[in-house]
Amino acid sequence: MLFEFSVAKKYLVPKKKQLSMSLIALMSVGVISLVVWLILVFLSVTDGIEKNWLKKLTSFNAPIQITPTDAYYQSYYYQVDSISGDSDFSYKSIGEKAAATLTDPYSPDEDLALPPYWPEKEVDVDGSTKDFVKLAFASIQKTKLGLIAQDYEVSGALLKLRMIRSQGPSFAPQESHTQSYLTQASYINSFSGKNPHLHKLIDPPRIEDINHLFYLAELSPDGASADQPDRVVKGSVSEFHERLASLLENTTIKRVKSSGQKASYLASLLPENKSFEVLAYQKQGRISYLVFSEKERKESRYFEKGTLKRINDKLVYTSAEGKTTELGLAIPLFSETPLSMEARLKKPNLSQVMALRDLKLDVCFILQGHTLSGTIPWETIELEDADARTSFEKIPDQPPPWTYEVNGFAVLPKGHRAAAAVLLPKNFQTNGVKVGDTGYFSYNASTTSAIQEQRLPVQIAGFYDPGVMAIGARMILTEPAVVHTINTSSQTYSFDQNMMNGIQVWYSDLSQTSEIQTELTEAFKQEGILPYWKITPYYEYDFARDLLQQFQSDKYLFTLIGIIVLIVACSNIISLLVILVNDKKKEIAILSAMGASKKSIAWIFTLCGGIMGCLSTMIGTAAALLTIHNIDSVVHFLSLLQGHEAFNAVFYGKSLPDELSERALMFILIATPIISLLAGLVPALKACKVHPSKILRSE
Amino acid sequence: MILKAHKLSKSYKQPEKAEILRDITFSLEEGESLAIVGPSGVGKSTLLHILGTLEEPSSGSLEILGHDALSGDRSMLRNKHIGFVFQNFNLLEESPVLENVLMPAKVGRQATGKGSKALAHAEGLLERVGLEGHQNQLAKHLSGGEKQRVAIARAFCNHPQLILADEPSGNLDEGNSNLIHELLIGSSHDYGKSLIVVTHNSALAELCDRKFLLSDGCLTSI
Repeated sequence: MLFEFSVAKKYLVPKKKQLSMSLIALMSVGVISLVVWLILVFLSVTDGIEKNWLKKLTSFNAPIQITPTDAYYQSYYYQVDSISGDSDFSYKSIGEKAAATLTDPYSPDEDLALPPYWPEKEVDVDGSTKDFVKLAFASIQKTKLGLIAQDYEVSGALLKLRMIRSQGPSFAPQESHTQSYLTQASYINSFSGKNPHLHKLIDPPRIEDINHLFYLAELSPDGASADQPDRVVKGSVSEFHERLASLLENTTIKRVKSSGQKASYLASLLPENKSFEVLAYQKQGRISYLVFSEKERKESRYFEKGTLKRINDKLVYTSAEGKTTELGLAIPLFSETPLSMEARLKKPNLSQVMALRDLKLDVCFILQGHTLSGTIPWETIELEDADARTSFEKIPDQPPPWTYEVNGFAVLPKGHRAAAAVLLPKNFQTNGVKVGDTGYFSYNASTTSAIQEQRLPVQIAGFYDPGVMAIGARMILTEPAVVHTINTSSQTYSFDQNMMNGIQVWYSDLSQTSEIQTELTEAFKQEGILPYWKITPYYEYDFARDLLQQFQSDKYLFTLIGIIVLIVACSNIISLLVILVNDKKKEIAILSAMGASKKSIAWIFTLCGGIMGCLSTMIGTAAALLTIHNIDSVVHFLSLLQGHEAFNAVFYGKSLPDELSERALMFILIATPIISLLAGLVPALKACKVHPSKILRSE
Repeated sequence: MILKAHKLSKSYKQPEKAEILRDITFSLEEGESLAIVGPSGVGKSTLLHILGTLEEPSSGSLEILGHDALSGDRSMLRNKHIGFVFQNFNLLEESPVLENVLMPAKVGRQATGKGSKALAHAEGLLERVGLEGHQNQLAKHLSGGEKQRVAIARAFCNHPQLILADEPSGNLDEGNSNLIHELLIGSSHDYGKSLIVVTHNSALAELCDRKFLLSDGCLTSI
């Protein structure tokens, strides 16, 4: 084969004399490389998107859900709670059943007699009532190591949020507040503390969330459950201290910026004898305030250009005409452009802090080319950059007011004043909701005579990515107790009972899903509880099934198109090699006379096809790797060309996948050389038919 | 016996039916040289190509070194036992002289790298034909006489028992022709090879041990 390879290589090396042949060869290699690149990039991106979706799909919703069947709800085990005094005559959720001490709470002595239509009791071998829930959890634990199971419950209520925001005209001396309300009919899902992926779906608090929390720290949450807006009032000092301690403990302030234009603290920061350009606002011949302006502004009746210097703890203003005016340090100062300052919080003595302005920050920044540094109070400033701590090794003594993670598991913080902490889907962010906002769940509870609205106070503890769930945009996560409270008393939302309550099962390797499903089914069967449970893997979820099938058929379709395009591209090789065979007829005849067999000559041209295929595969793969690793730049470029976003972030995620798909690479590495070799076969057969005697004589 | 041809015939159906070789029977002993002469177009080259297994006869049998040379894959037989010298040289024009000489060894998958026997032999052959200084020169840059000397060296590369030469000096001037005749006959003698040469050149024919005339498809000893 070495001989054939060396001859094939010699034939393929471009030569000046055979320029047209070399050009055709280069074009063939170029076209195949392009096709290889296209297939690799497309398949990698679609594969990556599918993987991301699957990850999202199986992060919030576990890859396997176990839900009770109708048989469960009609069973003695479920129904018995409704007539048992020990169960307060109310049905129990799966969570409550799992925690209950009594499997059969019915007492013939104390409770009413069982009605004649009552379902038969399912009993264990020892005669005791079969505990479907406990047996289910036990079976899951026994099935495989590493399975994590937790029950979930879904409910529904109206979420009403009261959003208090700081707002006021930029030159206003006092901060003012606005209030707006957001009402949204929502599904409420129990927060799964055992979900190993949940913490990855939760966004860390944004800088505006942290700012908002500091802003809210001073205010009283009273009025959150009232229908009418209340006057925003300051909260009690103890509450303020409590919230501030939690915030300061878990936030590292790095930069602050001026909020609004008032910047009275500038007076104390100005260095001695340095000159600053300012605009002086004059009224009736007196300077009312000074503005540090970066913009070109025309002098007006009120504004006059001048310079400001700090000399011996006094501010000296010099007008353009040279007239100087001495001003006290208390003169109001403004900055037209926001000032961005490096900042460190001075450790406060909380007992002396009555408001945010009592906090002090060491700041350093540059204004008009001069470095300003010093200590300023927390007033008319907001955080520009701060680290919020979201990860802990154990439950912290001073937990943050946002959702945090302890050893890989998400933890919901406690809301203030018994408010339930809730996690909202991140689309709420676009409505201006921020961490710390308060409100309530409203649901109707029926009594014997009326339907009464009930309210449960809530506080926003963060935002999460609900992934691909159809109702994800309206799925709120909160403490399981809240969900159950609403479920037991609410009459408003009636879901498919079988979907409202169930068990989620998490594990790390999705490829094991089918195997785990089979094992669980077997374990449930052995325990005799299979009729009461339905085990559903992620690819059978109603909301995901169509999409997953779409992904699958897209992949098959493109693979098919890929093969066809590859065949078309490789057929270039056939035409090139047929020309080559015609060109090399004499050499073929000479080699034949020297004793080269027909097989050997056929191999030379088959290898020519193979070499071109391999070369194209290498070039195409290298180009695809380069593209995939810089996919964001490519997308950015495409977006620039199109004038709008080339890929919808809602569908494709924030950025496209940047890993070459192994499946696509395998496909290309196998298909391209094989198709190229096959393409080389046609000219190889033609080469075999060269009659050496005729050629050698005709020359 | 090196070669034994028995009743070899060759006829063409196109462009018109013609039998150009009829019952050719002869044999060739080891070390023997044989010249086939005859007018142009009589089928001398066809006979030589049939003897070299490049073409098949219409009927008859051919044995080379005891092997049936008309059935199965003859490429091995050509590679190991037959060396060709053509009128128009048939060198790989874009390849260097040494590579041309080594080509039969490469086709036969012999080692041709530094220190190999094949390389030493090829260098010896080039020295023998007086081209030791032209090893790396491309074949296309050689003169006609030089090209034919390379072709002779190539024919001897794999130590074949039989050398077949088809008008070896047909394209050369007299001086070069004499040199080629000398080399061909001399090398065949020196290396103990059998030689069949098809030629118009009576001087070359005279140098051979036996002479045959091909006329009207029949071979007769002269």
